[in-house]
Amino acid sequence: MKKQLIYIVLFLFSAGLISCEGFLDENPATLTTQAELSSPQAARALVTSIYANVNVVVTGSGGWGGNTLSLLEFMTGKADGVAQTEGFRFNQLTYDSQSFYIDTYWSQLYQGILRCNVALEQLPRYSALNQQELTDYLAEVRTMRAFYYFYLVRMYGDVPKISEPVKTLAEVNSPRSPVKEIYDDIIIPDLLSAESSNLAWRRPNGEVSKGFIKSLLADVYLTYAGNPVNAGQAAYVESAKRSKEVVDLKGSTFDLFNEYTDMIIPANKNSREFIFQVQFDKINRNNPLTPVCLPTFAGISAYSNEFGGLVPRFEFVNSFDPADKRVQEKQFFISEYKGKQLGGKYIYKWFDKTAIDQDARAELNFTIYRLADVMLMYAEASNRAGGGPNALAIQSVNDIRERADLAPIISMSVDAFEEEVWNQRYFELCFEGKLWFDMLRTRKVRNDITKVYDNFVGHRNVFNSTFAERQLRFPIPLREIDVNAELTQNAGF
Amino acid sequence: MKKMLLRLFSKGRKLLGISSMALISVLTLSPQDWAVASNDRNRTFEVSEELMSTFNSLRKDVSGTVLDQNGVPMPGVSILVQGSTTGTVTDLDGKFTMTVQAGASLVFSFIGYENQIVLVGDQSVLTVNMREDATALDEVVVIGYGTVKKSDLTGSVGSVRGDKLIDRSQPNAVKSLQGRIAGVEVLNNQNSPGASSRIRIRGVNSINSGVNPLFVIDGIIGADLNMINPSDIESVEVLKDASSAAIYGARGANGVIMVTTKRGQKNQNQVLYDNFVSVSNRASTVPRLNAQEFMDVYNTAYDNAEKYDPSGFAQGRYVRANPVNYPDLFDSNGRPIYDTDWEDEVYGTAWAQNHNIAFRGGSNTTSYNVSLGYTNEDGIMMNSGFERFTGKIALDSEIKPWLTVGGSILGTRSDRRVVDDANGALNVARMVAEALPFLPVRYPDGRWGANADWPGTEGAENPVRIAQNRYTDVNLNQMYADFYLNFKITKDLEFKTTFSSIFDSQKNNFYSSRTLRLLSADQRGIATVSTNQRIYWQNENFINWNKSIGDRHRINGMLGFSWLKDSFENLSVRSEGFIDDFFEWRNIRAGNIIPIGGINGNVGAFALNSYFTRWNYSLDNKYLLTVTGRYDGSSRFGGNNKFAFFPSVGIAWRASEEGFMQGVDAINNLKIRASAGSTGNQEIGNFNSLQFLGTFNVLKAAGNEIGVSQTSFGNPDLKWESTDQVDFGVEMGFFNGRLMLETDLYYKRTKNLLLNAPLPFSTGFGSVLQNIGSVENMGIEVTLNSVNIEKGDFTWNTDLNWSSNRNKILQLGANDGDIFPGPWFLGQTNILRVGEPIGSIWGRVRTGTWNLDEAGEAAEYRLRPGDIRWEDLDNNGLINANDSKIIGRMYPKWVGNITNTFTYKNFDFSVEFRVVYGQDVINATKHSVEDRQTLANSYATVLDAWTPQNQNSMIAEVRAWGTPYLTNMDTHWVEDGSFVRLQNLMLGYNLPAPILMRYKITRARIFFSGQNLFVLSPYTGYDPEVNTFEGAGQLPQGLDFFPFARPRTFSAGINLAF
Repeated sequence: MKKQLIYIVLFLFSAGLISCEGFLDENPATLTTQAELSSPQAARALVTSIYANVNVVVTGSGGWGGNTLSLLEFMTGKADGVAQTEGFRFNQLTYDSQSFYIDTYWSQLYQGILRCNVALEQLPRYSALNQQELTDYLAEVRTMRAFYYFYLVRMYGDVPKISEPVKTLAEVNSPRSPVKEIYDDIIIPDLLSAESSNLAWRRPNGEVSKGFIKSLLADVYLTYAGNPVNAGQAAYVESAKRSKEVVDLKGSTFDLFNEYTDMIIPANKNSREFIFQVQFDKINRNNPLTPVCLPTFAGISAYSNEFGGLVPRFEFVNSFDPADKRVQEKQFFISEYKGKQLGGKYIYKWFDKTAIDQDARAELNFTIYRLADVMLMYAEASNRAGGGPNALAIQSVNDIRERADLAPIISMSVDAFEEEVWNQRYFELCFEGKLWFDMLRTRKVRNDITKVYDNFVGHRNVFNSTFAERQLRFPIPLREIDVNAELTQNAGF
Repeated sequence: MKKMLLRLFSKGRKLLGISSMALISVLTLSPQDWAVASNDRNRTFEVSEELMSTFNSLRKDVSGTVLDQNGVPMPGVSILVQGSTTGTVTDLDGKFTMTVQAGASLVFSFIGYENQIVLVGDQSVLTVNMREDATALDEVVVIGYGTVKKSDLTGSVGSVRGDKLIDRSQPNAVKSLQGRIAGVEVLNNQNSPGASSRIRIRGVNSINSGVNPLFVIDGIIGADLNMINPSDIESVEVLKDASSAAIYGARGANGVIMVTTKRGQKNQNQVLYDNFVSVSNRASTVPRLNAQEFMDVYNTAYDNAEKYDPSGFAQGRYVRANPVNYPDLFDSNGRPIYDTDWEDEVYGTAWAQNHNIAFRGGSNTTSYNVSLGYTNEDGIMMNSGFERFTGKIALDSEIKPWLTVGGSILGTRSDRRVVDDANGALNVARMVAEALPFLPVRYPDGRWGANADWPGTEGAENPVRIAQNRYTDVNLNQMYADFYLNFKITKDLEFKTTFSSIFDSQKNNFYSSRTLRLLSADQRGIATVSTNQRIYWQNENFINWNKSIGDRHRINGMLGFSWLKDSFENLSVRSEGFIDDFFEWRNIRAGNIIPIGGINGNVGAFALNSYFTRWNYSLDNKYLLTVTGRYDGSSRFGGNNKFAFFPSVGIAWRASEEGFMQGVDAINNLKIRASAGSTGNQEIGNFNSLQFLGTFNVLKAAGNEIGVSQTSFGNPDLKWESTDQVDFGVEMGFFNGRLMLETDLYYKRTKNLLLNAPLPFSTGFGSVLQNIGSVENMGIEVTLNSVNIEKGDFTWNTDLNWSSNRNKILQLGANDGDIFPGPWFLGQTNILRVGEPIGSIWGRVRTGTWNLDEAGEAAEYRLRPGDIRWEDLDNNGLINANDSKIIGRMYPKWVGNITNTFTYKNFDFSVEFRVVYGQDVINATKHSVEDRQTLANSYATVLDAWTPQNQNSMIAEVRAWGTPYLTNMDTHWVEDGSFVRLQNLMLGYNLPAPILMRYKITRARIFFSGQNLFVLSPYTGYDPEVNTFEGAGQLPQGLDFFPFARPRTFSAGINLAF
């Protein structure tokens, strides 16, 4: 008995010494390698992933009450926040490469680009897609890649040009490519390619539509025409061509809302004036700006936290024409609620009434492009392209003015008309993440006190700080510089 | 069964009581059994009758004396008839008498002495000499896959006996380990009942892979000591150096803690009962403003608003509230009606009780252990508590002379109620400091007082309300089961195979009420239910070969292999929008909002396959050599790097055995040892080596859609992190063992550090795990045990251990760039930098406040007199992130523990101090309770803030919130966290032998003890041993943002043995 046992044991022991094939292989059932997916739904999911970073422009970041939108608004000198948002650093122009928000944009935008690059690489592999589906999918992806890069070049200037997924550790460090090269090699070709797709002019699910592609392209060319590329006349022509296609659909696919407050009715999301928006809903993702823009601890809402994180400067609000409907109570601003004086004017653009009064779940979308913006782009670009304002340009400005209860304008000189268009952009699009980019591309800043346009460099903001060359580009986040030896920092940081 | 009983019976080894039980068990057999058993039954009666007569005739009286090795009579020695529960104890003169039957053997036992078994035979007067049990020198120490005599060790192994662990009246075995072993640092950072502790052995070796030691409980690798009942622990051994830890190669880099639980002893049946009851109170207080002080500061702050924000003031942003308009809170003269001390409202007296009963013993071939434990501990924070049931059954049987089998099952059920969650948010602990002092807990009409009742505050709830309306119940079921088979092939050769498993299931139920502002009111109630299941198995097989060649050579060889697999599945659901608080988490669908992000499930597993060997060689008992090697393969690494080899070697010289030392009487032990070797680390989480696509939710207008994209950069070259260590130790014993000294010096270098090295964000990824980096630790450990006085009935012992570790980062990532590992608290809190230790604190240098005569200089920084003054380190006229530097260290320079034990007759008294020197603590609470005066209540320190009359202050002039203010991690927040703690004070009394004899008790001891009786420390928070960021990573220590206050505990208990 014992002897047999010894043999058995020794046999088992030696058998155990021979490693079992596959025992140490990893087989995660929650993740997958690229080769294992083939269904058309998986292809669609690759496209869906590119939208995951759209909300970079309206993401909680920085300290208490901070939001990425605030960076672009603090910089203009037309807004401040509470101390913990560090708005004062941007108002006083003492920000640096480690300041709030700057790295959030950088990392989120590049993550969006990675997702686009993965989709561009993977989609052609899906034989389940027909040619038209593939073209349309690729158009969506290219548009979003252009969108992410468009933010990068406007914010940071020259940036690494990554057009396919980085696969090995040897390739992770990329140098910066000139702004113009990013436009010429990625942004413009991507959008021109997307333009030829069969995507609908409006897609109610909030996806890339032809309306968005044209609006973005109009914006890209208008910016390309201005600083820092200064591509000139031809770019204005290209810009006006795209915005006109959108403006021509006014009254059919797109139209201005009659009331400004129509824009804060949740039922109107993704419709009429809105061309492309960041999506929010009551359950999965609420609009963070609603509580951010409420006066600090005013006790007027269902929100536990009323942050006061993004607050208009009174100098800016006072610079509106008093007759302008937009500056009237509860159009773009609010100073009193339910009988309570709020101690100043606060932003009313994301005042989701149900959320504020009842459930603290704001579902209003954040707008990236709306018709009024594109109409003003058209007015500005066509004015420069044609050497003066044409009838449609004047009409576009007057439609905007009419809604604001302002008298119509008549024909003007090129420069005077351009300033009028800029004025309308300031008043119409304030606190929508637009003004800072307008300042950068025009290198002009409307002075709230004198109400004239100062040159960007040398403009003194209401915090007694003066814009210099270094303000034209945000610093590259310090962490990125530390990690990527190929990078150089922007001058002044 | 019946046959066995009969056999036992006929051999006359059972007493009458047991035999009648046997009869009863026979009689109560079922009728079917009756038929079969009838013959046996008859025989039973026959035999028993026959036996009775024999029994009586053979009874005899035995008396005797028990002496120790010096011939001194020993009182209190327990004497048992072998194989029975009958026994007695010796009296004060060491004498005993009892009646036994012929042929009986008596077992004499006394703690610290070897058991003596004496066959009575014809003798009627016995003289028994007890011999001291294996002195410390010959103590047997558990090492991996075997045991070794301490004198034969070549490595550094620290050891604690289980009875030392229960001294602390502490249900958590890990916490009880604190201060027991030099170089083994237990960080008791959390004070809520049932919370776990951290252990760091010989410093911090790694950054992103685990830094926790490996627990091996009864051979089960990767078990959790926090869940083991200390009363079930026989001993704890810590393998500190490479020579000893290398046997767990791949997982030994952070040290190995081996726990052996109690088993029955053959022929010694015992019933043991231990209990204690304790009462705890908050040990310290942190002063806040009272109601009147708050109002004074409030008014001053509003007076100052115009100075700090003129334009906001002009717009009317700073309107102070008038007390007269708040008649609920203020009388008609504006004086506060209430003055609530929130600390006293939230913290109270807490009771705990702990009971353990164990049955241990065995026959000649089989031994058993059955034990049950119960702990019920209330926390000093209201509504917190912990309850635990433990049970253990172990059986070992030598079923053949060459075959032993055994196994044990250890089960734990614990329920823990946590009310101090949400650290960083406005949770209970934070609101103790921040709740306004003039609020009532409840108004006379029953409404809760809340900061929101006073305008301009953050509006959080009072802490009593939070503690009563928000909780997590952590329910844990754990079962450890192991089975072994020990096969003696020849005299020298043994084969052992084990199969062990762990089944863990944890379920956390969380609910936070619909009414708690800033916690769950916006969501109208939040419930989260989460479950986690872990299933683990291991199979280990090894051969042990023991050979003595002649008198001079002893060889011990061990060769084995193992397989293990560890897998988990978890699932959690969160729901919001409850229609009523009635349902809580129990009806999770009573919340109508279940965001997609609130549903999570995950599965994962890893596997290891290992081959290991160890060879010990001893020449003349003087020269010792140990060689160890382990070859480990892990599923977590890249295809080409799954396996790695971890060797070690240890040598020792027992100089005291040499002839030339024999004449030196003062030194009776001198051992010099040295070891070197390599151990590994694989604690990096699963699936890091591959580039994977992951799924995530993307919100569209119509709802969520699934997105797929690459979610991991993946590093196919990932390989083992390894730590090379050399250790040099000296063990000395003087004056016949009265003074023993053990000193170790070690140097460790971790290479191929598994670092989550940052990637350029332009790749779309933040980091990837890479083997780049290196860290060193070097240190010294001293253990001293001394018998200072041993005179008659009085002894005085001193036990001291002291250790110091120095840590340094040698290499970090591809460019040696700084890494900020977080957590982030208004800035980076700590930094990893080459040349500096892990745990370096990062921040600004506060030099005070700007004075009136410095107004011009302050203005250059856009500041005013009364603002905080920070050093402009780069002299660029701006205070920003570049003005930070290393301003402290999280880990101490040295740690010492000293215990003095006095015994006099039956009394024993011990006092234990713990000293931690040279550590800093970040008191981050100063941000919220010193820098935000009108938003919430403040620390009393703001009474000393800057004023024109008090310009020499570290604290900025008080001001209404909303005006610009500066608050950042700086030197004012970093405080010296050195401390001396009276850890434990204990008075015990062993009941004298006459009383024990009367009640047939072998041992009875009553004790009273106190824990954390006082702390001497410059630290201003509750306690310098603190970290409220345990979830934010494994590196931070000493980051204090509103902890659960530390209790002071008084206990009383009793230990009985029958």
